[in-house]
Amino acid sequence: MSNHNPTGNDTEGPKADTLNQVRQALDDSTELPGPLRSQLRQARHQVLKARQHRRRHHAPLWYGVAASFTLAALIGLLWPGDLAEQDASEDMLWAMAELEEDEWTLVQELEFVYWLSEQPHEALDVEKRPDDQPG
Amino acid sequence: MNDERLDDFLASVEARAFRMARLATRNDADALDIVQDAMMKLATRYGDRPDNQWRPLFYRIMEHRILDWHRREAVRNRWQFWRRGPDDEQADPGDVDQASDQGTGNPHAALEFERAGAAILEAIEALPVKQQQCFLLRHWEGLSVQETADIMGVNAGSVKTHAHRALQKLATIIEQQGHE
Repeated sequence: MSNHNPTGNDTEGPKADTLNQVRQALDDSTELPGPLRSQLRQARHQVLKARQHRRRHHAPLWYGVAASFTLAALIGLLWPGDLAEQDASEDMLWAMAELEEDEWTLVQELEFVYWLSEQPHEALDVEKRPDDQPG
Repeated sequence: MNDERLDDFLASVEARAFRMARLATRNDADALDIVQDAMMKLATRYGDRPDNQWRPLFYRIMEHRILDWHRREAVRNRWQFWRRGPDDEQADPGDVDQASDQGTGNPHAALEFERAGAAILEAIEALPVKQQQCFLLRHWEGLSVQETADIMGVNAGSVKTHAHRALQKLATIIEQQGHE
């Protein structure tokens, strides 16, 4: 018998008998001869084998793709900090190298002033000569 | 797990699918090829979809295969027509909607038809393929008008028309049989 009962107005009325007869004939016709049933069963098994085979051979490929993405993500996460620092020090070197002679002198003087400001007052007093003292 | 369910599903539809393809092609080998192709495509491409999607997908693939088969046959018949010449013309099933030649004369198939309402099956075989497939999907598989329309790639009105015409023809044949 049919597994599914159709619904809808187009099956109602005097045609219902016709439909029942047709369905019965069709249902009976699905009792296939042995060789055909066997061929269908074989086809089904081949299909399922092909599916399993396909899945097995596709798995390593997916694992490879996933591993590559993970590696790329890790590299992206770990490298930016180091690269930024490296870039900053390289920028400083290039800036120093491109200084003119008088600019370089100015930088050295600024460095000296900066160093001087960091020295304790006592140390500066000791360094003063006695000749410089007012009489 | 999923493979077992898929196996169960395919086992549940294979005989009916074979009958549908056999009615459309009138040839056991071609019908088997169509069913196997449909099973293969469903299993490899859509096997991971939810179970409730398998049935409409399976029949959609089947219908595409059946229509492809008819198109190929039409081309082959046209080619044979030109080779033979118009004088030798037999039946030209050319259009997909046209009914083609009658049964294969296979004694095995003849016996089977006799057992299962030969006249009705022959009448279904003789229907134009779209009428035939609409009728089978709608009234045998019990799909809704919309599901049938989606599978056949036509609109709902067209499904109703095809199925109605098919039913009218079958009713006429059955009635004629009753009077004989």
